Amino acid sequence: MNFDLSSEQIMLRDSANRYVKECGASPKSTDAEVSLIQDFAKLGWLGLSLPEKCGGVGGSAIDVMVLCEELGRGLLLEPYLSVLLAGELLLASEVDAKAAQGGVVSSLLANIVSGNTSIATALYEADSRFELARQSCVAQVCEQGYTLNGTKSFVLNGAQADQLLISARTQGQFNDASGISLFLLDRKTPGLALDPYYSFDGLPMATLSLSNVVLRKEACLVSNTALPIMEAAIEKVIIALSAQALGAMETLLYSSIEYCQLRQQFGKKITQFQAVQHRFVDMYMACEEVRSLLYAAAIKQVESAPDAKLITAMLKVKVGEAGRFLGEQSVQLHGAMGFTEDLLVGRLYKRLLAIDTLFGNADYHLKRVIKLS
Amino acid sequence: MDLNFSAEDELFRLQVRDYFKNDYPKDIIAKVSAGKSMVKADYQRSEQALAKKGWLAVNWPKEHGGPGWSVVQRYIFDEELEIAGALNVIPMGLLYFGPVLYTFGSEAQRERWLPGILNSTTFWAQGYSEPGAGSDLASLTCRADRQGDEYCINGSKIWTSYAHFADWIFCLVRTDPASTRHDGISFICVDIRSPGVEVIPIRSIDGEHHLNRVEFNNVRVPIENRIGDEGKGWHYAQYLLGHERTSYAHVGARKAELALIKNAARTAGVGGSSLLKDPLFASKLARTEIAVKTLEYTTLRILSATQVGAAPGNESSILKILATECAQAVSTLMLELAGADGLTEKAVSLPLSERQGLSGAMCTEKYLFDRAQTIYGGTTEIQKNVIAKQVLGLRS
Ligand SMILES: Cc1cc2nc3c(=O)[nH]c(=O)nc-3n(C[C@H](O)[C@H](O)[C@H](O)COP(=O)(O)OP(=O)(O)OC[C@H]3O[C@@H](n4cnc5c(N)ncnc54)[C@H](O)[C@@H]3O)c2cc1C
Repeated sequence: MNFDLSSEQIMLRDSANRYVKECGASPKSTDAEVSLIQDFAKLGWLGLSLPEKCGGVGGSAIDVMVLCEELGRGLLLEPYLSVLLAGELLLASEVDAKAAQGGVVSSLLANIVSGNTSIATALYEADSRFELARQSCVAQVCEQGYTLNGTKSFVLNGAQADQLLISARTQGQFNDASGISLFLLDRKTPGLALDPYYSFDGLPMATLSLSNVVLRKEACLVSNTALPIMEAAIEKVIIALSAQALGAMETLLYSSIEYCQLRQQFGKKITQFQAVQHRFVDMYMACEEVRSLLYAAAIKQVESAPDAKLITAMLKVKVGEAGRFLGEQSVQLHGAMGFTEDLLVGRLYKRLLAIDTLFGNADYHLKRVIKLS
Repeated sequence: MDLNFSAEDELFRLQVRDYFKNDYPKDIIAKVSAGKSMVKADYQRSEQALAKKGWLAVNWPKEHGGPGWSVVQRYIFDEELEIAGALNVIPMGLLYFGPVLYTFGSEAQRERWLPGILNSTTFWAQGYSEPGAGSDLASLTCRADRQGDEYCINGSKIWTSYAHFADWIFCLVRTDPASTRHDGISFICVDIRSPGVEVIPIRSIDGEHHLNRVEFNNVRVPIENRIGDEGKGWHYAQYLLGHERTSYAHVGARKAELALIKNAARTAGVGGSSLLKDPLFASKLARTEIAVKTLEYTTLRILSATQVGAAPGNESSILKILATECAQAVSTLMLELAGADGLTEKAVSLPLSERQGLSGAMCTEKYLFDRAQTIYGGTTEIQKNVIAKQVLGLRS
C-alpha cells in the first residue's frame, strides 16, 4: 500500500504548479489557446500519456492526474483534455490493423504531441443525455467509402481543431451498443460545418454538422466496435477531469478561507463563528474524499483492475456532487461578494459545474455505479 | 382548521386569473418566459398596467391607495401573477419603503412620495449595505452630518439592487458621529440625481447587471427628507426588513417553474424520451415538489396567523430560509433537467422543448442567480442566529 508520488511525479507537479502560476487564470481567446498548445508541447505535456514511439513520454494515468490537478488549481482552461481523449482513441484504433496501414495514425499522433496538429473529438449528440450508444449521426457505405450525415454537439475545442475524430453509426438502431464506428477527418472536408461558441465557464466548444460528407475508406479508424474504445478513453479523461476538479476545489476552499479571515462582521473575523468553521470543515472533508477516490481510480486504471470502471464512475459522482457543494458554499461564505462576476470564486464554481456535466453528470454515473456494482 | 379558501376568495382568484389572461400586457409575459433581460421600461409598463387596475400596491391599506385586500387575497394575487408568468414588481418602493412611509412618514412626505410609487413613475433603491457592513448592518459608517437645514452625506453603499433604475434611494446613515451601533442611525431619502451621488454598476455571476455601488460625496439633503425621528432609523429599518422577508415566499413562481420543468422533462431523456421515467430524476422532482408544498402550507400558516392580528415576527426568518432554499432546490432541478444543454452560452442555447422556451442557458442562469437568495435580505446563517436566539432561547 503506497499513496506517495514518485520523485518524477513531484517534479512534474512542481513544474506544472509554477507554469500555471505564471500563466494566471486563462483568458477567453483563440490566441491564448494557441499559445497554450505550443507551451504544453514544449513542456512535453501533450504526449504525457502517449508512447515514446510517437514522441510521447509514456506516462501513466497517475502522471496525467498529477499534471491535471495543478492545471485545475490554477483554473487553466487548457486544450489538454481534448488531446488526451483523441490520443487514447487513436492509440486504441492503431491496434486495429486496417487503420495502422500506412502509419497514418502514428504520424498524426506525433504531430499532435509536437503541437503541429490540433485535434478535437465529437462523440456526443444533442439528445444523447451522456449516453454514448446514442448515435444518430449516420455513416453509409458508398462508392468512395462513406457518406456521413448528422449533428454532433458539445465538441470541446472543436472550432480550433485541424483534425476531427467523429463517431457515427454504421449499423443497427439508435441506441445499439454495436455498429458504432470512428472516423478521422480534416476540418476542411466539404459538407462539414462548425458552429463555435463558449460554454458558460469559458471553454471553447462547437456544434458540428455533417451534410453528405464523403470520406475515403481509410478514414474509418474503427469499424462497428468503437463503443468500448470510446468508453475506455472517456474513463481516462474522467481521471484527468476529476484531478482538475480537485485542484479547483482546493483553490476555492483556500481562497474562501483567506477571504473570510480578512472579513470582519460583529467585531470578529467571520471565521471565528463556529457555523462558518464547520462549513469549511465540510468543504475540506469533501476535498479529502475526492482525493481518496481519485487516487484509487487512477491506480486501478494503471493496473487495469476489474473494478476500475466502477471506481471511476464512483469518482465522477463524488466529483460532481462535491464540486457543486464547494462552489455553492464558497459563494455563500463570501456573501454578496461571491455573487460578483469577476471574482475567481465565481469562475472556479462555474468550472466545477461544467466539469460535473462533461462526460456524464453525477446522476448519469450514479446509474452506472448501480449497474456495475 | 380548514384548508379551503372561502367562496369569495375563490371568486377573487378567478377575477385575477382572468385579468392576467386577458388584460395584462402579453408581450411582457412573452419576454419573461423567453428569459430575456428586463429593462426599466418593461417594469414600468407592467407596473403601470397593474396601477391602472388598482392592483399595484397590493400590500397597502385602502386609505393610502392600496386595494385593501386581506392577507389571503394578497396571497392569491401573488400566486396568480406568478403562475401567469407576469413580471414581479420591483419591491424597493412598493413592498419595502411604502409601508415605512405610510407608517412613519409625515403627512407632507406621504403626499410627496406615495403617488409616484403608486403610479410607478418614481423608482426607489435600498441603501442599507455597505462595504464594511453586511450581516452586521448596525456597524454602518455612511454618515450624515447636520449642517443647518441640511445633512451632508459621505460614504458608500453597495449591492444596491436596481439603483441604475432608481430616482430615489432610502439610506440608513449615521447621524450621531459618537454612536457606534443601533442608536444614532437615521433613515434618510436621497434624490439619486443630487450632486455628489455616483452609481457604479457591478456585474453578477449570471452575467447580468442587477447590482451597484453608490458613492456619496458631500451630498446635501434637506432635513425634511428624514423619515421619523433622528437616531431612530434602526427601528424603521427593522420594520421594513420584516416586510421584506415575508415577501420572499413566491409560491406561485415555484409552482410555475415546476410545471415548466415537468413539461420540458417529457422529452429531455435519451433520444427525446421522457426524463420523468428516469428514477433518479423522478425522485429529485418528487423531493422538490415536497419542498414547494411545504413552503405553500408554511406560508399560508404564517400568513393566516398574521390575519388574526399577530404580527409576522420571528416567523419572517423561518419563511425566509424556507422560501429561499426552496427556490434554490427548484433551480437546481432545472440544472439537472438541462443536462449538457446547460453548458451552452445564452446566445446559442436552444429551447429544451419545442413547446416552450426553457433553454439550457436559462436553467444555468436561473440556478446561478438563485445563489443570491440565501444571501440577500439577511443571510441564512443570520436568520438561523435569529431563530436560535429568539425562538429557541439559545445564546452563545
Ligand atoms: C443579489 C443581491 C441583491 C442585494 N440587494 C441589496 C439592496 O438592494 N440593498 C442593500 O442594502 N443590500 C442589498 N444586498 C446586500 C445584502 O443584504 C448583503 O449581501 C447581506 O446582508 C450579507 O452581507 P455581506 O454580503 O456583506 O456578507 P457578510 O456579512 O460579509 O457575510 C459573509 C458570510 O459570513 C456569514 N456570517 C456573517 N456573520 C455571521 C455570524 N454571526 N454567524 C454565522 N455566519 C455569519 C454570512 O452568513 C455569510 O455567509 C444584496 C445582495 C445580493 C446578493
